[in-house]
Amino acid sequence: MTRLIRAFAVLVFMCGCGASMAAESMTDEEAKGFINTLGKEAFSVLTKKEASHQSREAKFREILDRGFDIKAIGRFSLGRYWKVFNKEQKERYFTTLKDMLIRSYVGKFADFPGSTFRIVRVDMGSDAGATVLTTVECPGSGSYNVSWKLYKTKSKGVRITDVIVDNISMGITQRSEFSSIMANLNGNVDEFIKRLSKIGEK
Amino acid sequence: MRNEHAMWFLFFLTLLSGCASHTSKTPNLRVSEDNDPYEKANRSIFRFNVMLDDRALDPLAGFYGRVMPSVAKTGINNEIANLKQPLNFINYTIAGDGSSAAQSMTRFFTNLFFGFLGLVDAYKELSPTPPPTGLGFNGALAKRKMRSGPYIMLPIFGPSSPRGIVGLGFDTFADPIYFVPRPKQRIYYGLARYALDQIGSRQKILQAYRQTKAEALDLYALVRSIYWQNQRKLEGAPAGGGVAADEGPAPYDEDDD
Repeated sequence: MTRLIRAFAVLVFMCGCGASMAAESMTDEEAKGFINTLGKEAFSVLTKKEASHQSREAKFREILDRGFDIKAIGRFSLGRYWKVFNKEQKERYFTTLKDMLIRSYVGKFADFPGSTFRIVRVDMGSDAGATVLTTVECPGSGSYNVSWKLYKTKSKGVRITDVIVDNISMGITQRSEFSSIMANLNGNVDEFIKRLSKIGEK
Repeated sequence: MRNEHAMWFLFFLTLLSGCASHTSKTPNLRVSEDNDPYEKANRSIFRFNVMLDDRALDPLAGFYGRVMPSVAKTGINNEIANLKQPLNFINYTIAGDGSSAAQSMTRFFTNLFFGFLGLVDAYKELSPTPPPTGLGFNGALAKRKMRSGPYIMLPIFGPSSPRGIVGLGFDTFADPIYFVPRPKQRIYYGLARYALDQIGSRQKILQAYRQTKAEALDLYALVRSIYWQNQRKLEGAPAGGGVAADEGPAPYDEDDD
């Protein structure tokens, strides 16, 4: 928190299908530039106290659309329960998941005004993906190592598929949580989506 | 007598340390993935820990954060961290990491002599590279490739495993710092240090913890996942967060629908 929390605490994303046919190769400069631009934009808006909650949510939605592969994250997060969802439920789930991430992250960023980040290095993966390692400095609560996993596809360009905070993958953590809830609900998809839609509601 | 009562009170505070949470009685469907064959019992203990956490650690950490001046909190955190360095030295040595072991002892003596007995982390200021983060006996065993065994939720202490329990016992009884005070004072000293460590650690992440807890769909599953990811990192999982490239999400292909 320390871990936890730090973990913190905090959490979101993905499930695993094998590595991909859709991924294209990218250079480390491309990966670095992508995170640099997106990160600066996100931090400048989300940690600004004077910005209204609505404007921060709207900005984060735009960043999420532009920078994250929500469908990859959503599929990964469901694990083996992915196959239980029909097409209509999957679409509803993606929309609900995105709304939940926005509520959750905008709220979390608000707790760390004045935070800054810097890129430490880029690790190119063997599967055409890349991991950009950054350090996020949060005044008053120290610094955190945050890694961003990226893929590039022909249709979407570069997209983030996982965020790893101090060794904790948001995707793996979320998959564990989602799988547990789905098992608890005996695979009731509609009830699962309903619960998801309530997370972070004021 | 009064001191004794104070120490028992501090012992009670330590109840706060274990992680926490609530919710669902999940059928035991994911034993292989979560390595949690005792999930039902573990969830019961977890609920107990969360209850203690809600009633003791969380309010105490909040109180500590409000009344303690920032400079005092930093000094206490530094002191506690420095007192752990001799044990870090032992565990890094067992793990075969001579460099981190040497840095731990250097940090201990540097802070002792040049950091007002450890209240200031002089070593961190002087060192060109960040000091090692510290290592428990569980971590040393993990680095020696000992398997963890199944997930076990301990009352008060939180998530663990058979390897973690061995580590906890070793760290409790082998810490050289415990042999410095007079024998009668060891238990008090140990409890006080543990309680302050837990309260200080929680205070640093109080808001994030509360929000995470409030937003968790299943806090038990969340804590378990974080625990295993940390263990995997100790066991030498790859860089980039200890998550192998093929473990994360792959790009979404519409044909998968």
